[in-house]
Amino acid sequence: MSKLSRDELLQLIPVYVVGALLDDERSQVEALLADDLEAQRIEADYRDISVLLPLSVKHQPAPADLKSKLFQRIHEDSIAEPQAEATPPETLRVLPPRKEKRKGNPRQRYILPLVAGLVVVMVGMIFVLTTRDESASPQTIFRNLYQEADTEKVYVSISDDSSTKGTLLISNDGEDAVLRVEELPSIATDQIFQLWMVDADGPMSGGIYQADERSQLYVVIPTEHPVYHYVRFGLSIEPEGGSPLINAPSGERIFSVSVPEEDLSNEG
Amino acid sequence: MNPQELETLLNGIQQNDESALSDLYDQYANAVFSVAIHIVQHQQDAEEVTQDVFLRLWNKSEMFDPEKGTFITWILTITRRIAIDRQRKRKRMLDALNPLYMDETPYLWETIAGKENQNDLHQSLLTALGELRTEYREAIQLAYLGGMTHVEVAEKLNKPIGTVKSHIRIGMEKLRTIWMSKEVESSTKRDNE
Repeated sequence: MSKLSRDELLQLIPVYVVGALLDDERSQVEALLADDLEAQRIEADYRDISVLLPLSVKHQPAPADLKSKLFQRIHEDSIAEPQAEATPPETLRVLPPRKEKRKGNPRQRYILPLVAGLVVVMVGMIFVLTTRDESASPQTIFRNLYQEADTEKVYVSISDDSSTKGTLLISNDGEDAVLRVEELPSIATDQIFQLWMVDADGPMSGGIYQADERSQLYVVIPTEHPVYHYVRFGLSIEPEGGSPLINAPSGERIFSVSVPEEDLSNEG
Repeated sequence: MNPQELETLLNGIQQNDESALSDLYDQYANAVFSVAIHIVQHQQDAEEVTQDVFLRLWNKSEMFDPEKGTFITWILTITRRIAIDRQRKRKRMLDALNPLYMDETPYLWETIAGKENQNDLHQSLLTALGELRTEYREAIQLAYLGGMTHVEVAEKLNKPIGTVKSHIRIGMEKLRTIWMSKEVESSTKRDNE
């Protein structure tokens, strides 16, 4: 689609607010909204109206037993929580267990060479397996994918005004993608970064994340489809629990990377 | 429910007071369920969406900011998002959705909105929607409550894409004009009282 004029984009804002624009139109409207105060004011006006629309649906009473089901779920969740907390963090799960040095048992002297050999083999196997394990840390997956010759790499610098930059890696089979974003802006303690996966149906949240101490963020894109199904991925700054809007960022959009066209030259 | 009562209940929820959640559920469950089933068109899905909404409220009640809007629009916005997410994931088309529907039982909504000191909110919206041409209203509702793009709305209504896009745009513009004039009326009325 051709580039729309500012007036055309302003006219599209009410269509944008109800979520009816196609991706290219939506991108252009969002670009305008990023720094056009009049556009932001108009969007806010329409947003105030759109949130009332659910009040227009037919009234239907909730089933009588739904409340008890809700509290049953709450109680089940509260029971499950301590177990979840006992699970090691994902980044630790892939590490081979640390071996404590042992002393004193003479019988170990006889089997030490054998055990040592087995340990070397096992550690090697664990390493090989974990490099392809989905539970590996995003950094590890990024590093491994980066080293593979067939990985597609997309480098993005946002603008001259922003130092934020990113690298999107897409596996050769188009099934996996990892994003690294560097030099992220500082955010308040009650804010979070939210990933957006945009396809033909519009944006969908890819989860909320925190940058590490070096202002970097590694994200394994939680795709439900092959990566090339998506048009782009982006990050926004949101309140702690994520964007309160419907499938749309509410805060500042700080990063966006377009998914390249799939290279089908190697296929029949 | 006045803002102080609402704040008390939300504070209670943040303290894991189940009776506070129970009270809020009693006030808003029907509204949440109504929106959920309108969007997902499936009883069990609507029940799960309703549970998800109240679970989110239980875990994230501090996300509600009264300065940004009313509680009912906030919780119904969450409902819409969760319901559309579920709808998209299941790829169930909204064939059964009747966009021409207008609520015939507004008094049931008023009991909810009224408790939040928004007595005329729902009725004003229905009046405003009622003043729209049918084709504008159905296009807006299919897009917003059906999670459809203007192209999908055009396919569903068997109308040209450009026409549907115009209907959404013009409809929203008219809704905004009607709504703002009602706000001015209300404001003038309040000033005169």
